[in-house]
Amino acid sequence: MTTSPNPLREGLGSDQSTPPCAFVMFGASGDLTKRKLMPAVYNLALSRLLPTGFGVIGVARRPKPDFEAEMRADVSRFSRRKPLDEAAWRDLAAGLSYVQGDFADPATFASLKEALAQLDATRGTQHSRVFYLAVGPDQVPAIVRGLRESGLVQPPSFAADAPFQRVVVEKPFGEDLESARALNRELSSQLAENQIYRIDHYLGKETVQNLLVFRFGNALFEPIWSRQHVSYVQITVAEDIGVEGRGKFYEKTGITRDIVQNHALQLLTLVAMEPPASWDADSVRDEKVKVLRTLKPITGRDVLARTVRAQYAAGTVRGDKVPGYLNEPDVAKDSTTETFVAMRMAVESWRWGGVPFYLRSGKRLARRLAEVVLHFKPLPHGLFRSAPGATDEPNALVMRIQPDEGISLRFATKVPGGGIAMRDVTMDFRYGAAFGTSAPEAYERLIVDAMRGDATLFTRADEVEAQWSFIDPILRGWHEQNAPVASYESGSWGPADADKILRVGDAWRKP
Amino acid sequence: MSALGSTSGAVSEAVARAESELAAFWSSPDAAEGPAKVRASTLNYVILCAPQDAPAYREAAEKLSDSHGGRTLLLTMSGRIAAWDLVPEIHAVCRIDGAVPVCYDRVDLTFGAVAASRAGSVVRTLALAELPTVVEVGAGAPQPLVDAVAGKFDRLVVDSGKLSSSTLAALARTAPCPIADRGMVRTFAWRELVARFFDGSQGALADIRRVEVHRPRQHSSAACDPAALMFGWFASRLGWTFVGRGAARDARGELVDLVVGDDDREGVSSHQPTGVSVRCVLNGESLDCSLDRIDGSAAARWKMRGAINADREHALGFKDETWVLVKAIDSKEGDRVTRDVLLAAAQWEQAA
Repeated sequence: MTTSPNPLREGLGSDQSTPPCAFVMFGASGDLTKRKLMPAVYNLALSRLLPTGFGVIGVARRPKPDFEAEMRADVSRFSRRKPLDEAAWRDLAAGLSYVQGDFADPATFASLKEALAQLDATRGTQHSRVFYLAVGPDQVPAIVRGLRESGLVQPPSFAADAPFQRVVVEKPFGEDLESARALNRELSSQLAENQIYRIDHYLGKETVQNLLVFRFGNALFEPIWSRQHVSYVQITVAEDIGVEGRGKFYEKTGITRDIVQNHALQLLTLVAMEPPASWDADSVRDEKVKVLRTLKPITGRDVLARTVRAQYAAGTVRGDKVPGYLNEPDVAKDSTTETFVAMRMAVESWRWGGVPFYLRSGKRLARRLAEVVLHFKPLPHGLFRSAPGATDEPNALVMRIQPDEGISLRFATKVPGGGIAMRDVTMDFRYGAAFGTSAPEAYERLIVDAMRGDATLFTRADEVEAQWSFIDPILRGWHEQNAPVASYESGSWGPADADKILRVGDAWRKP
Repeated sequence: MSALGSTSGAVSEAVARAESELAAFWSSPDAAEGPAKVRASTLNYVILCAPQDAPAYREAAEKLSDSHGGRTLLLTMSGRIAAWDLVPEIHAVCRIDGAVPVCYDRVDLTFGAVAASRAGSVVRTLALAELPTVVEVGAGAPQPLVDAVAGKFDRLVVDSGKLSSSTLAALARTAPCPIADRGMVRTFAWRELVARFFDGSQGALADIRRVEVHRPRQHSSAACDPAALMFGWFASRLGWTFVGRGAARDARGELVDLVVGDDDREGVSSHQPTGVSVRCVLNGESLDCSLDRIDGSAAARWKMRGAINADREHALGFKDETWVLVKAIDSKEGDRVTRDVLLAAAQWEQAA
């Protein structure tokens, strides 16, 4: 790794070249590896974003005599770019190997050490490593201990050319505040914070990053991005699928832990944060943490007044009849696990005082959709109130995260002709229409960021704990107050009870 | 849609009629008459070309509209119409995207010899407002149109695979707007892979002693030599000056041998190199770097021998000409680099 710029790279687009390193995937036999990680690595190779000194090692318990063939099949199936480019794959496969072993067994790490030394010798990975832990949270401590005790991770050096070791940790980061703190303690006992990359793949999505560009890269919107002009904010993260055979997992998790604690709160922080001093990891994350700390805790009776939990009942989604949650395999008949949650939050800050932030997330809703909507305040004076088609609150800004990524601005117009008649119209920006290229998968961006040591889009320990500090009292309140579990028809936009938490005059969107 | 106007009438009248027909097409119908036309516009794409090349550019514009919707203005000249005439012809294409038709349009503009000098004004009138205007100078583009339009808008696209190095250098010298070269896009992978040789060993860049570029024997003699583009790139990035086609002097005044080889293999693009090798010295040891297209594959073998040893295979990533055009329009490659390379490439071709 060298610090002086290569003059031949000037103008080549990605001036910040990725340093040589080995990419080690723990949990190499799992779903995440085959659906996301390996296809992401392959697409990085195709996009020429991998360093020449690069190799991949998979680590898992199961024997994998045909690891390369399996990975090839998975990449062919799940890559966003098809068909498989033989040359790119051949080169990637030449640096691909597999280590079988138990994560608690020191022998596994000894074998891994040998395999890494081999990569250093044959592929020029120069002793730098990114360890990606695509495993359950219960396995993280053992792996991190194993890495440290085997010497595969060293305390970070500040020398410019020193090899690096970084550990990427997948969500969930604990199941409550206490377990999150325990996990953070375990990680920080073995690693420096700047070696830990807690991944929330939502932050790798182009449209999520565009929230920041939209806000802070334009002069137009920031002046109206406050309580002076915004009436309320609505964040929706909706899925049309059910638990998809993961009833056992879901019974322990629920949508609040699965989606709200991480993805949805990430969206909220990006919408509500103050402009960071600069675009570096700590400046951005400092501002996000500030938002989480200004969230008014939902405790005591407020839990019942400001939140709704619910489960999907049988219904029709995308034209298919689907069963209710309680009839899913591995789900208890008296389960109270929520598959839908809606909450009314308050960001207690100078900018947002008095503006409700509504958040809802659910499974088996009408459509798969993630969006953030700013509803602007009603007109101060109803000049055209009596005109046909006039509305009091004509303006809304919709930022669609998925699908149909883009931004729409709704405003009122005069219908051509005599007299005054009005109609709301939208100005619509769609990523697909404007850029026409298939956006990189979130994992591609985040893997390359981890290789480059850019932690801006990763979650810091205090951020995770602040998220849990907000979520924990809600989960506890539901349990202690035996909060009702409403029911909603699959294929709808959630239970009617969700309306009860809204301020008078506010409404849930049905996009 | 129809051809407008005949061989009579002033330029402004022809423009007014074109505007009128475009406005009529884009007027939304009442809701009762069906869904409104949705314009997905990201740019104005202006093509300057010879009449015989127009069909190929029309096809290219059509393909481009899949990802970069907008208005295409295709400008040619004809000696068959009166010198002061302009003949516009409007075409609109709608495709169903979900429930609504998404439409794009193209205006073919044929200028007479005198009217051509007003082409810039015509483009300004007919271009969609608030959108960037990208002008491509095609092979055989009439000089009056180039003079009137090229460089006067937001981006200029050229093709070193079709235009001569002197034409390219003239445009690079005079165009005040950012410039992008299709040839630079086609050779991106080659240059990026060559740059990789030196990512960990920049010291060797000051000790390059020989560069050899192979290109297809069948490359167009009317266009910039693919080898010129590569030598121009090296020279402009590393501060070399050409002392002839066979040598350059580096920033320390040392000679660098430049060698061009012909490749007789079939099925290789005439616009790209087929091999690049660099001989240099790293920390007192010799280092030979080579990049060679692999037969029958869109890939190259990337080798280092000597002070560093490595042997890899890399995809070249080249897709098709629509992809090349999109990359040139979205050009992320620095404008200054492109200009420097085109000027240096012309210097190499002109070197005795």
